Amino acid sequence: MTLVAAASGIVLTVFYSRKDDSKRRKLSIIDPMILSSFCDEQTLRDIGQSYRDTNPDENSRDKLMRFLTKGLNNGDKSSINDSEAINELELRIENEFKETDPLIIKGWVVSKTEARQCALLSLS
Amino acid sequence: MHTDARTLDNESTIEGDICIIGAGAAGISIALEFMNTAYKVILLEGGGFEYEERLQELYDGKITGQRYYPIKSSELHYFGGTTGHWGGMCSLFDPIAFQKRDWVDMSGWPFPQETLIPYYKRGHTVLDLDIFEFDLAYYQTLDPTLSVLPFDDKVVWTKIWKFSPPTRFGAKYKDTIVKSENIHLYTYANVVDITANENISSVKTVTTKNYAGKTHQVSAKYFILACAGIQNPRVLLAANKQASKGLGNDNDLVGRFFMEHLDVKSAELWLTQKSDLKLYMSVPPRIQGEMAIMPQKQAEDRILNGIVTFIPLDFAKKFPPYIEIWSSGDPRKNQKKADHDFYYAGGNKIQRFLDYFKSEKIKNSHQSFQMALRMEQAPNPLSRVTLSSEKDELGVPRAALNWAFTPLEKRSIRKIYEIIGQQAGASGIGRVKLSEELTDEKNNDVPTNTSGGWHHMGTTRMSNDPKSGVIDANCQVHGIHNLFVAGGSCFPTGAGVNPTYTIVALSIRLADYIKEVLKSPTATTP
Repeated sequence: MTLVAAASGIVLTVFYSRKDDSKRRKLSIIDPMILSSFCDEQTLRDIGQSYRDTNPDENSRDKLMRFLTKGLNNGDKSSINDSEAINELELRIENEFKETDPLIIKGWVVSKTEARQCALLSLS
Repeated sequence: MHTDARTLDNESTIEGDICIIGAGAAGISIALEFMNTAYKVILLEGGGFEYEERLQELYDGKITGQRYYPIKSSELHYFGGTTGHWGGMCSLFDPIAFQKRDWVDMSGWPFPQETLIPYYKRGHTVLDLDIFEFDLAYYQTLDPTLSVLPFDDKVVWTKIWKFSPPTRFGAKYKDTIVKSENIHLYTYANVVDITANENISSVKTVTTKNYAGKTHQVSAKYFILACAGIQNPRVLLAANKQASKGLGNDNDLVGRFFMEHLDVKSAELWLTQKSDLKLYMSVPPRIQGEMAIMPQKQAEDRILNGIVTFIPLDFAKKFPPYIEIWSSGDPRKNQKKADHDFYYAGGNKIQRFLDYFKSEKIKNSHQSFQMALRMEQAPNPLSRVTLSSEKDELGVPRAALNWAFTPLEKRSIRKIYEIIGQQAGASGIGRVKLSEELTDEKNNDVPTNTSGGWHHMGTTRMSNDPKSGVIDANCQVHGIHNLFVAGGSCFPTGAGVNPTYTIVALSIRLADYIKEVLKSPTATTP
């Protein structure tokens, strides 16, 4: 992914790829893609647990799934794990960072959607 | 000219037009401005030309509050002063540093940044800096590979640092001063008292002492106290035989508002793609970019001014915080320990920390970086220098330092890291991780690794109102028309920037002012 930045002057071109893709299960919407490049699964689960602890009203797989899939793939739930949906989610995460205050959970500065992904992961 | 004050007859009287107390960055910068003028300048230095343990011991003092370096080893007591171990980092205090900010109590200088710009330019020569240019775009035209991180330019910007060699004032200016006909340097002349006239509106003499057991009096038209941020208030507070609270201290401000730069290494930047972050390292022609927060964003979030450096994490993790390294009262031992730890972290034997950024190793790409934050502290009357009940060998009460913070420091540290974390997320380049100690919003304690920069500021702060400052905009002590102060102690706020460059600029400005005053027909007579 090439980033076109809003910053002035010359920008840094950054590519990313998921770390250890081959060792992980197939990418799904419960994977916070960038965050999982740096965090092992246990850390992601800890973030998720912490989010559920502070947001008990979201402590449900169904609810979290509803939040994550809302508006995804035009509501077509049969393909929520395809790459298009995952990319949509990544875009949503970037927009959340741009538009709302991030959360700090277990030290990591994350978006709400990322936190929900981790929460869902921690329930799996 | 140079005189070793130990060789003078006891009870000698020294006379001049101007007496500068202290031969560090401030005192020497002022003396240089008076070179080859018609004025006789007396430059008093407590030490000699080299480090001497017995003289350094005069700087010993007590510490309370936030953990800090031993006072004794944080300022150097010989010709050249603390430039004997400074790192050479030079940048401008941002315009916002001079402004009154409603979220930072006691903020605001009596003049804007533009007032200092001509003096910053002149300071370049003193500090052996090359061109006066702090605009990133200029350096990007020289090296198009100096890329900024792709963050929102309404939120962050890149502050440019330049590097003095670093100029060791003692080594560089010794011959110039000694050979000067109108600058009269006296070494081993420790100021132990100041005597004012009857109504304490002007200084008549200062008294110096040395280990040879000799006492001398110095009279001048104008006196400039330039002994750095802990010793300046100490000298004023100890001059209490006529004013019981000390000279210039009618409003109980001398010594208060001690400020340092908080040096905090409590967050990491993790990138999805390895990078050398070249701009943010020190690159030829010796500039370095650091990430700063835009003034509007500081106002919006009501935070202090801070700047972030990126250091490859694998190296940074092996290099202990300075607050742990710099624990001895002997500055030479501390430097040796810092060099040793630096070497084992991955540097080489002759490098110092800043030079590491020029090395080949740094040119490698890294995925993770420590985010080292250097931040101003809020002016705080409880953060202060007072006199201890204990006296030094020359009979002067020792300094006691209580370094203290307000809740704004902790909130600002956390918020600055969060802002950069937000930018990393919004741009998709990676994520930021804060240390455990920053995660509790309700805890106002700064991280345990918080160090200082050996930057002592604020203790004779500048304000045109005597109720909120010891000195006025011309660095004159309120109420004492011929006593001036130079150095970081004059700063009302400290910006997020190392102070030496601004100390030199402000000192040159003070020299200009005194020259003008001396031309006046009403200039004081000694």
